[in-house]
Amino acid sequence: MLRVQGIDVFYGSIQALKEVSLEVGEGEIVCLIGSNGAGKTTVLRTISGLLKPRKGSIEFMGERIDNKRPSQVVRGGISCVPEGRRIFPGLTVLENLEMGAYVRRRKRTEVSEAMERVFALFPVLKERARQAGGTLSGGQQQMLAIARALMAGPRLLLLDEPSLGLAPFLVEQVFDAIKRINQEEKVTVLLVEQNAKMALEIANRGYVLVNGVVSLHDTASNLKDNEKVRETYLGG
Amino acid sequence: MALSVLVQQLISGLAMGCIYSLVALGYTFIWNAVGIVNLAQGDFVTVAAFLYAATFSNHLKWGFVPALIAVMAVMALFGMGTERVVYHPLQGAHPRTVMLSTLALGILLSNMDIILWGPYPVTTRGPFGQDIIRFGDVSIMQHHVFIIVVTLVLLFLQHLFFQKTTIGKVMRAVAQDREAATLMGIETGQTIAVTFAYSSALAGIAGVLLAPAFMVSVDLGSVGLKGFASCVIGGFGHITGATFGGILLGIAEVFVSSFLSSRYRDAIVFVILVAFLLLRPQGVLGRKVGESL
Repeated sequence: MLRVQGIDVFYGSIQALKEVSLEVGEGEIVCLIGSNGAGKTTVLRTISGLLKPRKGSIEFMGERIDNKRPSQVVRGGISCVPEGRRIFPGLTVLENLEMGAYVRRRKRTEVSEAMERVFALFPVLKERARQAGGTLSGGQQQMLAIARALMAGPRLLLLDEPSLGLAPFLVEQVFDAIKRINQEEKVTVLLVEQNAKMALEIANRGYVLVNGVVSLHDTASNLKDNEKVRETYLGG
Repeated sequence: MALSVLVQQLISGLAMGCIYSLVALGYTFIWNAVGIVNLAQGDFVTVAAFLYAATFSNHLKWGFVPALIAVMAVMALFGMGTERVVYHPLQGAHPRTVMLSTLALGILLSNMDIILWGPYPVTTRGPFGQDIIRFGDVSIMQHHVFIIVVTLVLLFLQHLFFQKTTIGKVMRAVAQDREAATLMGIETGQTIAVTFAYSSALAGIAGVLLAPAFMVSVDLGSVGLKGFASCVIGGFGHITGATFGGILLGIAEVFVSSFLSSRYRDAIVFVILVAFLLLRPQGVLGRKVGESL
C-alpha cells in the first residue's frame, strides 16, 4: 500500500534520513521505533508532503506521492496525527473535527457519518463537542487529534508519538483506540513511537531507525525477542 | 462641564474609537495569521480615503454605498497583492525583515498618494455632510453616529463570518496552527492571502468612514499609529482587545483634548502607548506575546 524507497531527507545541509526504505501493507499496523532524534518524525513529515526527499521515492496505492503537496496527500487518503497533538486550541471540538474533514467538506452526509463514527469511538468528544479544544485534558486532546485525522476518511493513518506525555492508563486507552481503528474501521496504521513496548504490542511489524538509517526490520514478535532491541528500547 | 457637552464628546470619541478599532483589527488578523505587524496599515487607510474622496466620490460622483464597496474591493485586491509581493517572497525570513518590507511599502504608498492625488488635502461630503442631529441641547454629528452604526454592524458580521462560515473557521485554524492546518489539507497560502485581503478591506472601510470627517491628506496615515496603540492597549493579537483598545483610545483622546488642550491630543496616545508597554505589555485582555518582535 505504502512503499518508501531509499529516501534521503535534509534539513538545510543536515541529513536527517539516509536511504530509508519501508513498506506498509493494507490492513497492517506497522511501527517505527527509535530513540529521540533518530528521524522518526521526519519520515512521517516526508510522507505527509511537508518535506521533500532529495533522493528516493514514495508510492501510495501505486502512485508516486513524494512530489505532491500536503493537501493532495490528504485527499489521496493519508492523514497524519502530528507529534504533540497540535489540535486547534481556540476552535471547539466540533470545529476541530470540521477542519479534519476539510478535504471533503462538500460531502455533507459523509462528514456527518464520519462524525458519528468518531463519537462512537471516543464518546467523551461528543460530551465536549462545544468546548474549546484547548480546554480538554491531554488524553482528550490526543483523542481529538486522532478523531480529527479520521474525519478526512483516510485509508492510511500516520500517528506520531500518540503516547507522548500521557499517564499510563491513558496510553492504554489510546492504543486500544488505535487497534479498534485498525480492525473496525479498516484503516492501515503507521505508528511512530518512543514507547517501543506498547507499539510492538499492537503492531504486526516494526522498523528500527537509528540515526536516520533503518537498522532492522522484522515482525513485531521477533523484534520483541531480539536481544539488541530489548536492550536498547525495551529496558532489558 | 455641562452634561450635554459630555455626551457630545463621548459620541465623537466613540466614533474616532471605532475607526481606530477597524485599523487595529487590520493589524490583528495579519499578526495572528503570520506573526508580523503590517507597518503599512495606516497608509492603506490613507489610500482608501483618497480613493473614496478624490476618485469615487468627487471625480466619478458615485453614491456612498457603491463607492464603499468599490474601495473595499480595490483594497482587498491590493491586500492580496501585498501578500504576494511583500510577504510571500520573505517567508522563512526573520519577522523583522518582513516588517521592514511593510515599512518600505508604507513609505512608497504615502509618496504614491501625492503623485496620484496631488499634494493638497481633499474634502468630500460623504452621505451626511456636516448635518447635525439634536436631542434637546445635545447636538451630534450625523456622520459620527453613522460611523458607530457601520462599525457595530461590521463587527457583528465579522463575528458571524469567523464563527459560522468554513472560510472563517479555516482562517482561525491557520492562525492557531499553520502546520496542523496544512496537515488537514488546507491550502494555508491561500488562506493567508484571504487574511491580507480582509485586513486591507478593513483599512478600506476605515478610510471611507474617515474621509468625510477630515481633510484627506497623507497625514491621515497617523491613524496607523493609533490603531497600533489600540492593539497594544487591548492586547496584541486579541480581537476583542483590539476593538476595545480602539474605543478606549478614541474616547481618551477626545476627553484629553477638551479637558486639557487639543495640543495634547496626539501626545496622549504616546503616553498611553508607552505606559502600557512599560506596565502591562500584554494589554488589558491579552496573553503574553512571544519574543518574535
